[in-house]
Amino acid sequence: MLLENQSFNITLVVYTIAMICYFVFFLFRKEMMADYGSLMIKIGLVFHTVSLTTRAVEAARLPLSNQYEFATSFAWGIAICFFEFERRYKFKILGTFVTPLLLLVIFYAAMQSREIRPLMPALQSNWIIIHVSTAIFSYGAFAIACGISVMYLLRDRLKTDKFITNHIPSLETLDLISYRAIALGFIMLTVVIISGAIWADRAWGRYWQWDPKETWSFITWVIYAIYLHVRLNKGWKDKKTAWYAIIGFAAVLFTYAGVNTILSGYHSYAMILLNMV
Amino acid sequence: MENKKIKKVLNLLRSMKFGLFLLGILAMISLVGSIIPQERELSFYQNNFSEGRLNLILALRLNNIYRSWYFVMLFGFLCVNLTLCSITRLGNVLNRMRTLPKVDNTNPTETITFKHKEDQENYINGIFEGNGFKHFEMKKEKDKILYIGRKFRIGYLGSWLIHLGMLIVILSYGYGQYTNFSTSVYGVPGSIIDVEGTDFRVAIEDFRVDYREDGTVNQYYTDLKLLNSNDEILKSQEIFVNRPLGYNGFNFYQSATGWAADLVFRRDNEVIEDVLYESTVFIEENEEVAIHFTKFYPDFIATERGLFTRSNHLNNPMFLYSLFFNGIRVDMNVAAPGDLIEWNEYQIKLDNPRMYTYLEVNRLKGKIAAITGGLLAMVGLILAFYIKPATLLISLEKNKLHIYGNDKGMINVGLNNQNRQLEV
Ligand code: HEM
Repeated sequence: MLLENQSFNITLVVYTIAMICYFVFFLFRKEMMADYGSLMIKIGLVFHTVSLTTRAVEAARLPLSNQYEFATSFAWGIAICFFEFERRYKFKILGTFVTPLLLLVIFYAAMQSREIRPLMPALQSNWIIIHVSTAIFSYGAFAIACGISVMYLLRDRLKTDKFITNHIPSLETLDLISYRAIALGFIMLTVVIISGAIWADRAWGRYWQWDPKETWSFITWVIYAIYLHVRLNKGWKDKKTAWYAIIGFAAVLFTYAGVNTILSGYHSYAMILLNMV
Repeated sequence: MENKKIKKVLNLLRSMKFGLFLLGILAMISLVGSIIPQERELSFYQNNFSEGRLNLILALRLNNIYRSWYFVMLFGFLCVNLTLCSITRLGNVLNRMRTLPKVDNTNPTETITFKHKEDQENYINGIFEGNGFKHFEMKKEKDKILYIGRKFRIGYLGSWLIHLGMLIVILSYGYGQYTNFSTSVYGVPGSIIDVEGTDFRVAIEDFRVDYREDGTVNQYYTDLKLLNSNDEILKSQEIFVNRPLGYNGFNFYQSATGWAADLVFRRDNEVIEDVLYESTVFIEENEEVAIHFTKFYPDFIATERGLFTRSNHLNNPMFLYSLFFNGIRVDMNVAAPGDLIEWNEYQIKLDNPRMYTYLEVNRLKGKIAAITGGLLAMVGLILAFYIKPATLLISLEKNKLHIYGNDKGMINVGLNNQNRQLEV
């Protein structure tokens, strides 16, 4: 427990430093800082993995069952996806755009209760392991696509800035990476939905009931399906697609956190809002 | 004229634009449904929404949006759209799997000289091998030989399979909803109960709750025997959450639990015995007296803040009840098991507290089809995104060698429309 908490806190600090490095790199154009940032992410990943592993051992199950566990695993998924996309496409600036998302998620995790609670009976299923572990990578990939799309908009805006053109790849490349990330995220999201449906069927005998969580995963899935089609058909490979990918990620975040906080409960905020408009 | 119109409509119906429009609208309707709580009682909406909102909700059926005619109809259109577009696209897909790149004979750009005729063959072999084509076929035409290598042609089927899979999922879901049957059974261990709306009976052999040390529930177990109307055993199984009993499309799910007690109701010499479940009422024949079993406390404690139970164990069991006489509450109190509750000539006893099991029963058809559709779509997605088909075509015309790859394939092969002169 101590080990888990400590390594989680160290992870938090190290990721924060990574983000600061990437920001300094970007704002003050200090090349070295990007390398430090990248190093910090790797160090953070090590501690993050230790934290998750100790929790898994402690709880004798994968840490995927409540808001804290899922949030920290989700952040881990973003970090892993980032690590892979940075390694593969080798551009330093990616970190400037992905670390804020990483921090957003991991600080959300830090705000949740870290108590290890036993699973309620419905959660004791192997399907949930597939369900949640694929969700981590799906959301992680969408996060990358969102970061890349922000870069796209920036690069499009600051066409003449030397630093930007040196460090941010061409618009075509950005679009391609974003597309690949979304393709990966979309496949994973499909697995998430299918495994969730199978699990719901085992537990309650209904594989799809349009509860808010299911509904929002459907909405997110449709958003990305539309993205894939318009990009393919209309050759939409421009600012519109980039904005679209960003909106898609907002839907991802809402599906994950918003449904539980804003839409849940009898007198949900959403309903209050609805009465006001 | 008529034909033209029909064609126009058909083209619209099967267009991707229309399909995406439908998906978008469906997503937006779902969004509304996720904000407005669904399928609550009318009073819920009356209490939570202003008059105007309420009327709007009821008029547009926003309180049961996923079963509203317009939501179902949009899904219907989506099915039509997917069907038409899948039919028209199948030909294209198969064509793309079959056709070869267009051969255009421009003049050779380089000359390669061989000593022997066999070297030439080795050279061609090498091109295929070097580009990852293990096999290729040879086709002799009038004045030339074609060498054709193809890889991952199955990739072309990817997007077609995705859409077919989705169509199957939607149709099977719709069918399942349309033919859905659901009910529930509950009872204490030892009871045999008819399953409403079916020919089944169930015998609840045993029911156990597995508590953890901290008092939370680890699991609920019911030993269940499924019987037919002649009381022959059809199936017998221990069920728990996430492990339903399935028989002939019917599934029995561990769903809930609560407390029950034996009720003895006595008036003069007349004795009625029954099982009374927590938060239900027993009403005697003449409807004069009724007893409501309000709540059960296994380990009862009364404090200033109210009545509580200290644990789930039967250390100090107590029933909270209300007694009604001619519709008016005349008594509300707690009673230990076996305590006599008296009113006028009536004597009532609650005893033998134990947990009952509550099982959901349903039959949802089309599950296998739905999962098949889902898997097809998955396979399709992997094919569409990760299996890139490639074709390599070499034509040898006298001593002129032309190399072609198809559009997508050339990304892999990296040789497009190269022409080489071969000399022996
Ligand atoms: C029901 C949800 C749907 C899903 C999940 C879906 C998914 C996909 C995917 C993943 C692709 C491949 C994209 C790529 O390679 O980048 C695709 C392509 C395509 N989709 Fe859909 N789609 C759906 C509905 C539709 C509808 C309603 C239409 C309208 C007729 C449609 C028409 C097409 C077409 C024409 C292509 C291009 C195929 C090709 O180039 O081989 N899709 N779809």
